Amino acid sequence: MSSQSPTLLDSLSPTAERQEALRARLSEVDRSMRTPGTFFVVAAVLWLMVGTLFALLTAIKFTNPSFLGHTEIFTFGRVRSAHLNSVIYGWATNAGFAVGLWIMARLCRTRVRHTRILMAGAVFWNLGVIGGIIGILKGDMVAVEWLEMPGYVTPLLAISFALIGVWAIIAFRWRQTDHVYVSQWYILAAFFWLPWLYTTAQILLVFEPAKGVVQSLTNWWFAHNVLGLWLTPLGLGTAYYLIPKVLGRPIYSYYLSVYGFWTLALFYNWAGVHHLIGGPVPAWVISAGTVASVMMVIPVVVVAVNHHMTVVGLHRQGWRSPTIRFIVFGAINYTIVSLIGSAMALRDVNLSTHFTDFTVGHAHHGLYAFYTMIMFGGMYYMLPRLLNREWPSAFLIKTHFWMTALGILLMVNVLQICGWIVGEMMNQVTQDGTVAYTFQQIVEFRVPWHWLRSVSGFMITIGHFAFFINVVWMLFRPSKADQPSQPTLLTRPTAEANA
Amino acid sequence: MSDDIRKQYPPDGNPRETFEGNRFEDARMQRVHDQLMRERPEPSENFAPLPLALTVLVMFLCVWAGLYLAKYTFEFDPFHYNEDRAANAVADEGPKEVDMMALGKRTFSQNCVACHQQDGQGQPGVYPPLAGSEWVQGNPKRLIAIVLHGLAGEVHVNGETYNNAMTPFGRLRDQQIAAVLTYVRSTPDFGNESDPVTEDMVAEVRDETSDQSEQWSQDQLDELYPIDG
Amino acid sequence: MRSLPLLFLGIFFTLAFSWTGIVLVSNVQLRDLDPATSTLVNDVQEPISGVTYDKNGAEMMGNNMSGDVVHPQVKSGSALRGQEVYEQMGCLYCHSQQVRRAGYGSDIARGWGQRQSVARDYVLEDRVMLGTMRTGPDLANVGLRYDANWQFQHLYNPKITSPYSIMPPYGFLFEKQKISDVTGPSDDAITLPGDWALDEGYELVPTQRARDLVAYLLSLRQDYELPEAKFEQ
Repeated sequence: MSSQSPTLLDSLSPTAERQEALRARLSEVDRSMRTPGTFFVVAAVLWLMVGTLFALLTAIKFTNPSFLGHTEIFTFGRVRSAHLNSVIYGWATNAGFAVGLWIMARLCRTRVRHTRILMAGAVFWNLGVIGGIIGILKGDMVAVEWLEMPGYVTPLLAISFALIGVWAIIAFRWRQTDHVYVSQWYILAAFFWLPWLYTTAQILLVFEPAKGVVQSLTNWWFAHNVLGLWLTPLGLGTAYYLIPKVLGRPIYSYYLSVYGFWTLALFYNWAGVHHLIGGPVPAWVISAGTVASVMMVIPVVVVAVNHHMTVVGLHRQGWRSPTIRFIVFGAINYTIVSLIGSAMALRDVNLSTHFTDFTVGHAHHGLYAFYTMIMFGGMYYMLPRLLNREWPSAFLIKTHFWMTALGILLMVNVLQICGWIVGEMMNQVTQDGTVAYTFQQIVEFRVPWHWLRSVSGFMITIGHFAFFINVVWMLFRPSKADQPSQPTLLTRPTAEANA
Repeated sequence: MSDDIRKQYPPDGNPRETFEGNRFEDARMQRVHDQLMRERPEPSENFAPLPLALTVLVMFLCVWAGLYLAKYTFEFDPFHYNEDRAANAVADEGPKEVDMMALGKRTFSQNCVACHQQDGQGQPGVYPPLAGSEWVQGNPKRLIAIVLHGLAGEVHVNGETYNNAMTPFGRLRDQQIAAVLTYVRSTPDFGNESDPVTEDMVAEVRDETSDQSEQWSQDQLDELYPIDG
Repeated sequence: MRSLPLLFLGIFFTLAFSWTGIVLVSNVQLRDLDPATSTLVNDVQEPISGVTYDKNGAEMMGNNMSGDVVHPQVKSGSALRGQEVYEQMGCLYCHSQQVRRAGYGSDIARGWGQRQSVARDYVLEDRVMLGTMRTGPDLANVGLRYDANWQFQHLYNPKITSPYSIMPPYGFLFEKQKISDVTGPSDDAITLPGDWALDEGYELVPTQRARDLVAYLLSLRQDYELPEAKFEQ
């Protein structure tokens, strides 16, 4: 048992010197993260709104293809890429920087010493993404999924990532603790893996394009790993930190943590090639990807057991806390989306899901219902501590939760049900060798589903506005210095507080 | 979860920690640390062992993975694309009896439906119909010529005028062209009832029109292959 | 786990594993792939089918048949410029460029190709756009299915050729202009059928980018056989 595990003495006698020193230390850490952390959160939230706007444009284009159709910069292919890149590299990555670095600094008990370097990285990263999105819209797009931002912003993004990521390494290297907690492994690994993935992908796809389908293999090795080895570890690291933190109960099993981490590291990075099943790549690569994708069941189940056993019995408490509500929603969806993903990698299942909205639904399931919801939870916990302010409105948090949670569940279901039926229609061949449904019938079948999808997107947009207003309100409201503050909770608080 | 942990963190969610406000009297000091003060301790871990069911699951998956890789990696052969077959080579089963209507329907659904539609009605004002069309039920050689080299400019079909162009399909084999025209001319789906077209007829027209490098115009066709010819 | 170097090594080797497997090995295996004739011959000019094995059991691809044409072929300059237009417009997000084998999906029954696409089909492409979505049809063989006129009409407004289509129109790749009194209608003016016809005295001409894009689309054709991929019948 490590020195940080609460002992009976700690809880009975909370004024013990060790706890006091620790809290003083954490207070310093929080203060050193105040400027960069807030900057990352604000940038992330702004990107979230920009990404939502692009998403709405694409949704409208599905039901009304000539909408803004006379303008080249707003053609579907570009708006869609602008949406993807602003949510991945704008929202998700900035959110990951904010929450990931803060958790790393806290767990290592090291404060960020040279905030200016971190801030420079933060500013340049966001300038890079802005340049990238403008580049996409004006037609400099690189036609590689997840790598659309033009080559001229690559150096800027690479350098600023180095300036930001180095703080995770520095914090870990000079950590003040003996024990290394599971969140630290995940976050450290994520900050190491992304530059490698990005460099390889940039070299083999943008600067010195590889020959033939090696491009496609590199593309999907990269793109799937941005989710698997960058965003997923950040999301899991956040969940692993905040679930025990807010509920005040230790993680169920250290062994499961270790096991889950290393199996994820081993299997996830092979999984990406399942995007090429049936394609012009040698069968053995696909088989390896299929096996790795199915083996992902192991880390997923391990993490699910670990989280579930930690939370079990504390549901009411969790329901009250905004942080836990979002994070538990995210963690449950991590389990579901990963198991669906493993199934989708089987050749027989992929036959129906490939090339349809099922994949799109799956991507939103992973990126939104899992990762984004966990990051919302992380921000609800982190921001009051960085700013020494409380969330202004519990109503807005509730609106945020219900709109995004119901919205994303509707969207995922709509896309996956539609995708599955379309896949079945596409593949059905009659006895005389002709297709059972013409392409026209399939396109017409999809139309009502596109409308439903727009409805779900609209719900999510409302949720995002609620969040946006709450963040802005929090930043600009006058602080009431003399009153002791109360956490903003979602149900009537009982005696104790756990924001 | 061990028993003493259960006591320490009871399921009702009320941990025995009342740190808040006990220590610091100074209101400002307390204000600064509000959020921090009410926090629970930093996370830690228990040491529950791996559940047995999980171990069984892992063993099962490992066995499955081994079998799958053994069966579907094909010695890492870069030319093996098809996991169903021992080799990529198409088995040669010798000549088969061909059902011209079936082949025709297949060829039609692969190449023609996009414009002339499944029901052969075309699109009003854009693509002429095949169902009930005098062109389709007339001179078969004229039809063969159109499929081989395409058609462009104003055409008059069943009293309507169309000004568009048709893609040449000379790349199709004679047998496919014969089959698709047989289908188009006699399928009950369109209500057409004309004679079949044979491969020899296609070969003959292909030979006769080998000099044609552009799409036909209606005038050219009327001269070479009149509808009632 | 307390040691940074050990943790780091673990983190390094897990990713190195898949990097080697997926990126490095596939690169080594596929980088020497070149255009080939439809059949291969052995040292004494006898045709062999696909991959064969020599007497030591080693894999042998054989040689190209002398005098035969090799495929795939280099694209024209206009088609290469058109590929850039295809990239810039993000066509990739709705159209795939790969045919799956008969028996796995309905690609061949749908007329999207005569055989499965294989790695060799893409060795000359600057940018391989296999695609992962089929909101629209597969385009691996679209050059065989439609002619330039159809492509121009369809790009100008997909609803001309396919009224149900949800593809966005690319009208900005075309110019409406007054028919010149001196030279008469332009040679490359596009005929618009039925109600789509422009006002009297005006014509629709494609810009250079539209012409390049159509040249690219017409160049998309896997209508040849390769040693490892024969037509399905």
